[in-house]
Amino acid sequence: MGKSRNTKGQMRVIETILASLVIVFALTFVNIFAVTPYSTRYETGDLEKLGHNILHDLDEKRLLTRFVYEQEWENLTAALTVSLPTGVYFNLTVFDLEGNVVNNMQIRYGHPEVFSTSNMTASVQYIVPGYQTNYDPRILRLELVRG
Amino acid sequence: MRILKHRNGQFIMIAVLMIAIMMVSIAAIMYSAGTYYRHEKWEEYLTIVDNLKIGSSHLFEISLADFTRTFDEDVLVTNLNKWQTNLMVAYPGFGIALTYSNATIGNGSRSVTSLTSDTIYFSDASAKLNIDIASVGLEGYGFVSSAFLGVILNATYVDGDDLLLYVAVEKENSAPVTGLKKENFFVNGTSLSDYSKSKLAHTYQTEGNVLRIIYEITIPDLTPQLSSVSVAVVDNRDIKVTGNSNVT
Repeated sequence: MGKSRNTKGQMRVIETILASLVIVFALTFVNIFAVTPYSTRYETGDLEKLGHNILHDLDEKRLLTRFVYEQEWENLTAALTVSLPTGVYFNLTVFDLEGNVVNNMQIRYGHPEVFSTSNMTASVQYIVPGYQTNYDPRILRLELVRG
Repeated sequence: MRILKHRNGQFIMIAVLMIAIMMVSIAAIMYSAGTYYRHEKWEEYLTIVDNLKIGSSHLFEISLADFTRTFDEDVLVTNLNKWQTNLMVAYPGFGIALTYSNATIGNGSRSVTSLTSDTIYFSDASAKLNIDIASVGLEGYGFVSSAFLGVILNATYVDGDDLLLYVAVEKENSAPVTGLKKENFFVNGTSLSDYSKSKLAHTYQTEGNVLRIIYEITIPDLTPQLSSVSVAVVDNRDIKVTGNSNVT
């Protein structure tokens, strides 16, 4: 009888260990494939969406074309800065159709090193056709990184 | 006795295995849902389509604003042709093709509704656009793009020589145009701000489901009295429309 009770106890320990192993294995397996909102794999895609949405919103409010064609670069920088979440840095370049840079000052938030050292830079391209009565398209390239 | 004891152990193991299977299954579902909604290519081309739609809308406004100054009827088609080419520069490698049909631009007038004698004078431009994006297999995404500015005008004399004008201004989808100032109105070719003592106020009026903003313009002591009046409105997009009315 004493031997039998001992065997039962040992089996319980073994079962518990096995059960723990199964749970640990399952958790590990799940963790490998888990898709969390902070997963780095989606960082670039999320930043691209964010960048596009902000340019689109500014365009809908008719601010983007005014800032670009009236060359209100400070206002454009301020609008992008307040629209983006904290910790997201940007660098915007405005081109004409020949590929010449139109903005005569930097439209940027964040130290240049942030962009050169980051291994994940999201890039969004956006075109505006003109302003008031003039058809004269500009191409905007917005680069985004997380600091 | 041993069998009974083992049954307890088996139950724990089965329960744990079931929990593990559930966890793995939920993870698989989360993974497939996450990848579907985050990695489908339509995410990428939806942003491009958004850009093309709002850009095309601005293109119509620019063309109409130009037309209402120059009366060049080719301006819309010319700009659309350039837009087709320039999109390929903006999005190289996407295989974007924009085509259009039924492009019209002009100005005219018609009755506001069949129930009233009011006339709306308008400037408008529209076309049906079609987008193909070869890189993602998108074909035949069609939409109508337009720009519109209309004015409804009533004129009367009050208190002797004071000309009172009621001007309703609307844009696309009969939406009222807000925020107009004296500088936006021209009466018989002269800016309203150049008429001394002129006043501009506004009220709201609902007609069916349509909300209208009625701009009330008063020009005191306008002599000799006019039998008809012309009012031009230039909105903040630089689109111009001119309405005419007899003065009652």
